[in-house]
Amino acid sequence: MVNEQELVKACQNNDRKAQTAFYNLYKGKLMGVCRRYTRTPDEAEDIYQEAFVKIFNNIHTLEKAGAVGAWVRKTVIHTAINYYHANLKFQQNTDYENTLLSNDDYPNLLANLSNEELLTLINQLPDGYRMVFNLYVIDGYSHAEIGQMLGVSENTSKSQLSRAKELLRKQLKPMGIISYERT
Amino acid sequence: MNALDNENDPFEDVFRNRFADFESEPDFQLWNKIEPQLPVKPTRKIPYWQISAIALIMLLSGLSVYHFSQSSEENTTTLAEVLPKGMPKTEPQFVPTKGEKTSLNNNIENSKGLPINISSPEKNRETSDDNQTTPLFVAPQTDKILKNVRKNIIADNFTGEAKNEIFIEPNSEKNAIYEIESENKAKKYNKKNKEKLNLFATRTSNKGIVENYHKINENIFDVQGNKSPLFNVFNNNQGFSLTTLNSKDYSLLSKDFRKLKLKYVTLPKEDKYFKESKPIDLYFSVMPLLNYYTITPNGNDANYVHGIAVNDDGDRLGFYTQSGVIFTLSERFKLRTGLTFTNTNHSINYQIRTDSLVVQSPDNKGVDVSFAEINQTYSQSANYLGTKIELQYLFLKGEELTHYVNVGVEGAYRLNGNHQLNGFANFAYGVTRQIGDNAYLFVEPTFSYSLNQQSDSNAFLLVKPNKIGFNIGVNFKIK
Repeated sequence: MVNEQELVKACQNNDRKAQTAFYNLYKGKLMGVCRRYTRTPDEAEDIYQEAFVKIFNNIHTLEKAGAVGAWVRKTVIHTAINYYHANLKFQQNTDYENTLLSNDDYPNLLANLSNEELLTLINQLPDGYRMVFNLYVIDGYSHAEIGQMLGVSENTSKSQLSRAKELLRKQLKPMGIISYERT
Repeated sequence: MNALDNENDPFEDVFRNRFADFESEPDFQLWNKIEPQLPVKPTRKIPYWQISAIALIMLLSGLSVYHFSQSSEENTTTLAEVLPKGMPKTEPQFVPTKGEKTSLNNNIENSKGLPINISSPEKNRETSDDNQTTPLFVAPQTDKILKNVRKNIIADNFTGEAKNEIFIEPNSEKNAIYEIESENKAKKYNKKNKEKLNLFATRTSNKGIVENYHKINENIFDVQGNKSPLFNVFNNNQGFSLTTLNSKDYSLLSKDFRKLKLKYVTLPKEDKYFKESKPIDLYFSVMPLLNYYTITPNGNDANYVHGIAVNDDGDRLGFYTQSGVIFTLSERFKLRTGLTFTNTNHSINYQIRTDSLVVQSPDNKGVDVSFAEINQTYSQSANYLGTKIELQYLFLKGEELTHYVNVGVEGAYRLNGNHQLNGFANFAYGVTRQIGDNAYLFVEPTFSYSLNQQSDSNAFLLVKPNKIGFNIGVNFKIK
């Protein structure tokens, strides 16, 4: 079996078989990222296609083949951010009712929800919230990095995250998940 | 905002654990959409040194064709081609006699060549005094002399006098006559003096054997315009020469130099350029491209996009090749159509001002708007396959160069990326000249104006990929 570094090298030479193998290796992971950052599966597919084209067009710039996993993930995230900037910049989150919940009201039955159900909650977040929530909570970026990536201040990133979580809790409430026990 | 301060928020942990390695199986058809957009191995960037090499090879080939075609013309011209219609074509007389050889030997020893004064019979009668001019070169020996002869011919032509000094060089591979004709052609002598030398074609081998020759006994006039002198052509082991025969009697060469008159025949100047024997030409050309963009922000993005700058680090460069056929519509108009292949490279930097994160303040009394600048780059390499049709107007036909203008349209389909169809209006000014019997070299600066716009992947910019190119190509007439 060809290892990942050899695969990357072959892709850098635009070898079509290597591109196909590379695609099959990363297609699931990258679609997973796309699904988190978008509202609908259609948008996810758009970003997914665009990201893969970018990856193959720019893979020759990748110097450390060992870091390809992080690099492709980062490429997808940046593609999603660009998509979000291009198409959704005018959306203002004025429909958000600021219902502050107590930090003690953690949902305790999250474990019972499937990934798809949780994903639906994330998808329903306003775009700015969804971006910050994904970047900070799941992909591990700091608020400073998020501010730079999104072109906002660090504090804006923090407030966006806060409101994202509050909105998630609000959405979870009708599902009966109103408290969460720390373990 | 306690949650923000809590790095180990269990609420976040739930999502982090669930989605950090979350995978989702994509539709299997997506690969079919992605694959055509991927870069392909062999057709990517052709290094510019290769393009330069191709252009150089074409140029050298053109020059070679030109050179050999000139040589070919010199060696294949025959009496039949030189003589006008109705002019009698007589067989040469070859009268090698012992006496002649003696005369020749003496002549070669003394002068190693024969000058002949030639004039037009029409002018001959009017300017007979001029035709009595003593030949300037009696004993030419070297190339230097030959050059002097040529110079005198040119000078005479500029004065408008149909008077030439001809010297046939001993041991020469080429007939001196053709040397002179060639020189005249190169110097573009006076148009009024369009006489074509009507003498004979003689060629000697290294051994001095006369391989073929023609002479026109009937067309040799004396000073009074009467047909009387004859001349013989003969050879020895070193070269060939001419002697004159007056009334079929031998005479000393030195006495007959001034009396020998060969008829100068006036022919229309051959216009090889526009002998449209066939109405269809094939053409091929290649040119380097410089992309010259018209860039505008896309719609409402105008409020957010600014600081647009095209990278001038060579990314603008591309190349353009085309091949097709040219139909001759009339003397002045031609129609050119064919296939084109274009490689262009885009690299444009721009900045976006974003205020997309507009949120309500916690107290719900205001909005928190944050601006920022993001640097973006629009960069891509695109290949286009297209077809074009152009109308060519020949507005200036020179003796060697012809000038024309081209106006046409081109449709180009992008082979990679988003497969966009682009339209171009092409404007060109061209200069062309013949480089062979059926080959023409053309140089054609071209401007292509894009009729539609491309957009970058984010749709922030609308780009018209206009092109400026320097076309170099060759036309071939179909035999």
